[in-house]
Amino acid sequence: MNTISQLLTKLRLRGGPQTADQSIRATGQYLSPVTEQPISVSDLALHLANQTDTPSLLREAAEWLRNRAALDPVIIYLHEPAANRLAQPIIVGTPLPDLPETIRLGFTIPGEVAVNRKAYFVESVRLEQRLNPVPNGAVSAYITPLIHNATLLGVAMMFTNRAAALSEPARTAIDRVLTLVSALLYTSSQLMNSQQAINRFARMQSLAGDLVERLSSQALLQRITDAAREMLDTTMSVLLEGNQFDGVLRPVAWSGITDDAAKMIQVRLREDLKGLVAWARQPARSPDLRVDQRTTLSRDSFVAGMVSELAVPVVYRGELYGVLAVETETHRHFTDEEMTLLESLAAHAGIALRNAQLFETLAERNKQLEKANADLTISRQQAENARATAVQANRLKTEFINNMSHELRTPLNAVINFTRLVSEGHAGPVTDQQKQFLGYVSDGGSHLLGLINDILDLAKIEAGKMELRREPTPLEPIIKGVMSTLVGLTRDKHIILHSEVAPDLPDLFIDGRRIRQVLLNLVSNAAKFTDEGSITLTAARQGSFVIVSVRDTGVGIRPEDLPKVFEEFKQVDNSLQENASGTGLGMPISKRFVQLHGGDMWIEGQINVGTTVSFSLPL
Amino acid sequence: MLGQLLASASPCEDTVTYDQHDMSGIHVLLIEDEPLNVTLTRAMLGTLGIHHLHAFASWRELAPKLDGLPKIGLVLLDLRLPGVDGYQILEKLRVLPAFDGVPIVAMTAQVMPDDVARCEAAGFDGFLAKPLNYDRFPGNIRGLLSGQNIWDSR
Repeated sequence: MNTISQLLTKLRLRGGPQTADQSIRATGQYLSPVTEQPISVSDLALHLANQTDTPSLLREAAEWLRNRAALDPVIIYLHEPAANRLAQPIIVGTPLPDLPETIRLGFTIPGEVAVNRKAYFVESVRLEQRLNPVPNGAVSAYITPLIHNATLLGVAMMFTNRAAALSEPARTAIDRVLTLVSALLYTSSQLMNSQQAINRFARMQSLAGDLVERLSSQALLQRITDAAREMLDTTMSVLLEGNQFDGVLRPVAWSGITDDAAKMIQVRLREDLKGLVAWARQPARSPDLRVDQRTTLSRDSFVAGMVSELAVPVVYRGELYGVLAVETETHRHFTDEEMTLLESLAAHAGIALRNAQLFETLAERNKQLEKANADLTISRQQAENARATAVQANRLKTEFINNMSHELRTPLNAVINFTRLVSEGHAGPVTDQQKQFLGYVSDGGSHLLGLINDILDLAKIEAGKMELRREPTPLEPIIKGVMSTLVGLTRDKHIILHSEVAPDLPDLFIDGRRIRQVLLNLVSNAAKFTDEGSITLTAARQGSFVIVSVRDTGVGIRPEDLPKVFEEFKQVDNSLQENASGTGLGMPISKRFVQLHGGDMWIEGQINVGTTVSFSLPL
Repeated sequence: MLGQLLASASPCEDTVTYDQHDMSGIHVLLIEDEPLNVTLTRAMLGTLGIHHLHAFASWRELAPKLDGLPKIGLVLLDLRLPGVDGYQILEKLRVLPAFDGVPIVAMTAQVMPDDVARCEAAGFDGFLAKPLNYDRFPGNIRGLLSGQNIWDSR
């Protein structure tokens, strides 16, 4: 109120009215012809000196006027620029029950006075039908705008039942004192505005804080939209986000309207006011959407019932993100200041929308990462499961093989050995034919036992439990022993047998028993698949290895079958070979044995030419 | 049948040089729960001239008869047995004075490396895999009786 006091002091020092009629100029005082009391600015100023706030100041001024100027009642409306109306009437004197709470600018006499900014004198209220309501007994009325610094602050309405109270000199005196009221009102409204500015600033600060605090995007957009509506005192507000793909602006946050109404809002770029704002990246105002050519094309662009609109683009670093708009149900001219305010809110919205997009991108990335992570976890889990399953399967296999071995060996023990006992006459004399047949049984049993032993060998190798008993061993005795077995195997065939062992071979660090087993396997295969020609066994040094080969002139092998030779249970299907018997494990096991020694085994062959199987042993 | 087998016993090539008279007085103890294996072992030992085979299906059967047994020259022990298994019987026999210095041999169809290693660790004097190798059996028995450790695990 200091400001008001200062103003009052200033007005007092000025020494009264500066433009008035002669009588006032002469005396500096105008006496009311009715009350005979002075109606002067200085008097009023003195009277109001102790008033502290706008409503009581107005009330006191009105009361003072009513008493001094014989007016009744005195009504003062305040101008609300945001709503484009007169409101908050203060009335002193005879009450007027039908007095409207608000008056639209331009409507009825007070509304016209406000728009025209010119006082209106009604000499006889009976002759002015438009003036309504009128108190009982009133003769004249005087309606005058309250203006200061070209700003409309309100409208004063005065009635009287004494015509002299509103005579021309009286009206002049009244005008004078009302200039003081206008000045006080202006100061007061300026103060209010600055308070509002402070509030708005605080609100901005709070929003900025939200940005810093990384409020969730949607919540932040909602707060911006709410703030726009509250700070600009509008019916509603809406924030539309532009979609760069279809060029349609869609609401992302709104305030003052239902969700359903908000979702109806769809704006195309360049269409209607918001679309134009987005396209031009310029703010736009429309006092009346209903008659605005820019908005008549699209009925979806604003909510039914809305009259005025202010829309600003939401831009961040030159990029358009959307449109922020406020709309009112009442006719309203949005000020430049309000536009600036909405623009600064839109700037916040721009950052928020930009952040939201970044956040979405980030969230999407995160989701992808999480998915990739989950996939990785799954595949790791699958690998672990597979490994566990493999371990379990391997354990079961070993257990199965052990059991199978045990269970087959027990009956084989009886089959093989009883057959031998009988065959060799320990159960009575046997004929040659019986002996021959018993030989078949015994061979069958032995073959079965060989199969079991092969499987056990393979299982041992696979389980890493095959232990070699390696010691320095000469190769030649092994080869000689194998050759003598080969002689027995080919006794009934016309096959020439050769063995060529290099004379300078040193002892090899090998498990002689296993290498003998390997070599026996190779020569028995050669004998099996060769009906005529030759079988040659060679051993020679080659680099840091000794290469041992068994070459035959047998049925040979198809090229496509070569790789199958070393696969378990993949006995090569060869119609050329008759009497093809064997476990199908001999070759794979042989190769594994050689590999356990640090060597390797390979096969070469040609159909009807022969086969050569070779293996290497390190020196 | 057994008599028939024994009557018709003739030396095979591995036993040609073996003195059958020394073998006839030898008592072999067999613990084996499969009757067919008992019959087979009896017949195969018979071909060697060993006619005293004392066979029991389990420790429960053997334990009460231990004191009544003659001096045993060789113990053939199955591993998989009902109740007390071959390893436990080995331990029980080892502490008996009557079995001091008597070769005790595992005769089993459990021939995996782990099984063989376990037998060695347990203190068996030999290992004969089933099926018994008809051709090597005489030599293996002879070796064991003369104090050799025989590990025929195939």
